Amino acid sequence: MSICWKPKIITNLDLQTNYFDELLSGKIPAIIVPKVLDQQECQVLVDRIMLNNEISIGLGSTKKIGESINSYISNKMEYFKNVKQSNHCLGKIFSHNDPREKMLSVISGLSGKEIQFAKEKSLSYSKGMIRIYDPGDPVHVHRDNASFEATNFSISTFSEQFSAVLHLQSARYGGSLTVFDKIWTRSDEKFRDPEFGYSNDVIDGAFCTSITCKQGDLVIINPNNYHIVNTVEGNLSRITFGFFFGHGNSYLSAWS
Amino acid sequence: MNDIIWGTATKILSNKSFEMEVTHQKEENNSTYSEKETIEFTETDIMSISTDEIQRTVEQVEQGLKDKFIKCEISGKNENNELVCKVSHSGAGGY
Repeated sequence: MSICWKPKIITNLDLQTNYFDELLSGKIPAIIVPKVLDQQECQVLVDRIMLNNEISIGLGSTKKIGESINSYISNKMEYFKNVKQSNHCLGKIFSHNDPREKMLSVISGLSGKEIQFAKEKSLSYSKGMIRIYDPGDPVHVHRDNASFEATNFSISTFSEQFSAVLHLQSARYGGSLTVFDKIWTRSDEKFRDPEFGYSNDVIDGAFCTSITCKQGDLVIINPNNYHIVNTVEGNLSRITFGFFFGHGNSYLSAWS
Repeated sequence: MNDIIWGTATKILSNKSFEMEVTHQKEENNSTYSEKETIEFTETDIMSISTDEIQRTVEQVEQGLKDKFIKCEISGKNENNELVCKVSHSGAGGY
């Protein structure tokens, strides 16, 4: 891999190039769409998030609002039950200005395909996840791969998986995203941590790039590349809202 | 408290047994285990694997366990010196 492995920054929606294919092939580590929300919109959302009393601890020990299927791999019905509540909660937080509308619109524009949140029969998947990385929180190197890990869920049949993360508040220092030029393989499971993620041995010698995430930016990666959020320093938490998406049928479906 | 080991299921042997590459062992375990152990499972939380041994197929076990990172709670050994375990999914490789 050349030393020019840099994110593609989209300044206007260019439909001539399929950047998602470039993500999948490893040609680029990330797509960044700057200023999907402006500073004021982000601050209003951050204020509403921090006043919310439904913040809990999720996988990887980060604080979160919302549910992710990997917390329910052996308990699918519990996932769908709890998702009803978390989707309601996200709806309240986003009631005045829903960032999902802009995120879905941008992804649709980039891909040329319709996108909607996934359903399994009549049950809705989680419509995203707010994550709060407090100063000092450790985040293990990991990859996200529903087709291997969540085989009981219908979204596991999607041929591809992308991660879309909107940065609502940047850390004062640290909190950058490092993406490794290494795709997960089944044989990597021997490097797993019993709780979450992988030993650093799994990315030993792999080329990587670090992305400083700016407030309001939407960052899209192929989450099957190993990645890590570097430790947040200073007095500001790193706050994001994100979801996964992939090809269902002729359209894209999103979930968390 | 039962001994606990973690690792990946590398080879499915039957509808109730598999080979495991052991990567983690609980510090408080009473015994030490080899890097490769054969497991006979009596119980699992993997949803795609039937709890009824008569209905359970090798294909179900292949799909649910092959290459997966799992936790084995050891209750003893069988007549073939294989570990008899309760097998469950362990943690997550990502979100």
